[in-house]
Amino acid sequence: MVKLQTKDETELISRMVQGDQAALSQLYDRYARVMYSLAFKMLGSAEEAEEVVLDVFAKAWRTAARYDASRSRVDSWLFLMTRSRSLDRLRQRQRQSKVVEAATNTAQVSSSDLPDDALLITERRTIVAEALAELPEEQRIVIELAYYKGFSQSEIAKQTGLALGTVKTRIRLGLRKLKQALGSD
Amino acid sequence: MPFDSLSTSDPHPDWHDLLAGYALGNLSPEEQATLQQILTDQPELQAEVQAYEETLALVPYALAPQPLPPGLEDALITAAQTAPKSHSSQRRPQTRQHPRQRWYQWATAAAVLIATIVGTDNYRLRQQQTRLQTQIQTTQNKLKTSEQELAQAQADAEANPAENSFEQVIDILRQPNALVYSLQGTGDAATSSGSLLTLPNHSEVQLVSHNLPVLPADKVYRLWSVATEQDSPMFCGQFNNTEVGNVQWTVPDALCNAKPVKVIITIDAVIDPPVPKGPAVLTGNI
Repeated sequence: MVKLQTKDETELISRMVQGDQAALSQLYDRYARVMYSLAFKMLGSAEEAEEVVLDVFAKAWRTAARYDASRSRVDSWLFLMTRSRSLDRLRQRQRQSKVVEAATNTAQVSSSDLPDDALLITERRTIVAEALAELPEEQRIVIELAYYKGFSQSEIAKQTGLALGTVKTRIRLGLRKLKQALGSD
Repeated sequence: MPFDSLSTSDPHPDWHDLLAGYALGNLSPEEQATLQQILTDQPELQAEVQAYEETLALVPYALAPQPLPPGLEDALITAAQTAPKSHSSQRRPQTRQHPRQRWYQWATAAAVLIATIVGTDNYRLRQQQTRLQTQIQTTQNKLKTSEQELAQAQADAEANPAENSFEQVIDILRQPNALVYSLQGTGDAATSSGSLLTLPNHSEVQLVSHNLPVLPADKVYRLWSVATEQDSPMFCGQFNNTEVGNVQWTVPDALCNAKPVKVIITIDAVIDPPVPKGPAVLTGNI
């Protein structure tokens, strides 16, 4: 994971704590597109994705002082909040509609995107896309159903027709390979 | 402890599944409780959880990048300017708070929430406002264009009245059933002449004259039609002439254009009643 680290991001957070809006803009320029893509992927709504990104950055701005660099990277922190809020909205929809979306429209992860303006993001995209591409498809699908759709392991088993034990095994093996590929071991 | 290491001290047969599921956030309440107990017993496993959370947090990088909506950053900066910030990175010791302090904290939290909601709402309202302004601008542009075209047409008509009237005359003459009366001056207007043009079942008549003077403001020309030799003249409108000798007006009765055998134009006072009284200046037969 060392190869994906940057030093200046904790400095950005420190500047945000001091009320430096330029630091907020810098963080936005770097990560907003990935966050928006994540929210859009999960929610399928441009309007809701905008609201999620706005909400997450507003929270990051307000609570920058509570950011703990020893617990998570800055991008992980932002992406985690983005996913959490998107999942909240997905679950709210499910509560409202009482309908669980079919799992057949599994998330597709592309590794052939156009290069981002930011070299840093492009580099990270390449690394992560390659790591995901190395996963066996059956492992990648269950991880993506859990990650993007917020399905529980039981829901994944029900939607895919797999045994619950198989779902758990695939998630475990897939995550292990992903962690190794991304250098977290 | 390595993730897949097997030892007799494994805390739970499925602890690695639980860790992975926890990182994804898709454990059942019972599984969460089991994992919580494991983590309490073996806190060093927290590092494994963190490593998996960090790994999963990178997954969005692989997504196809979506273009950011315009105005989002401005909305964020606006919201940041209005939202208060938390400057403390240290968790405060749990001390008994005065009710007023608690009230203040709740009020602050509510203010933050309201600021965020208002910021988001303002952003969406601005988006709607922008769309509406665009529509209004488009409509205004179309209206302005139409107004300019109308003004130009009016200006052209005013600048070239003869041409305008000429075209109207031509239009009438192109009709196969056009009625054309040749007018000859009589009395003091013996040198005057002209043509009266109209169409059956048409309410407008067109006069093209020569040497027919423009009358003072208190005088008018009146047109009278004589349906048959036995009928009295019928009032068919009044007008003043123009410098170019072309004038158009609307007749008050459809019978005026019912192919009368004779037409007469007289000069009358504006205040005169509509009866044939004034001297004839032009007459014509079909």
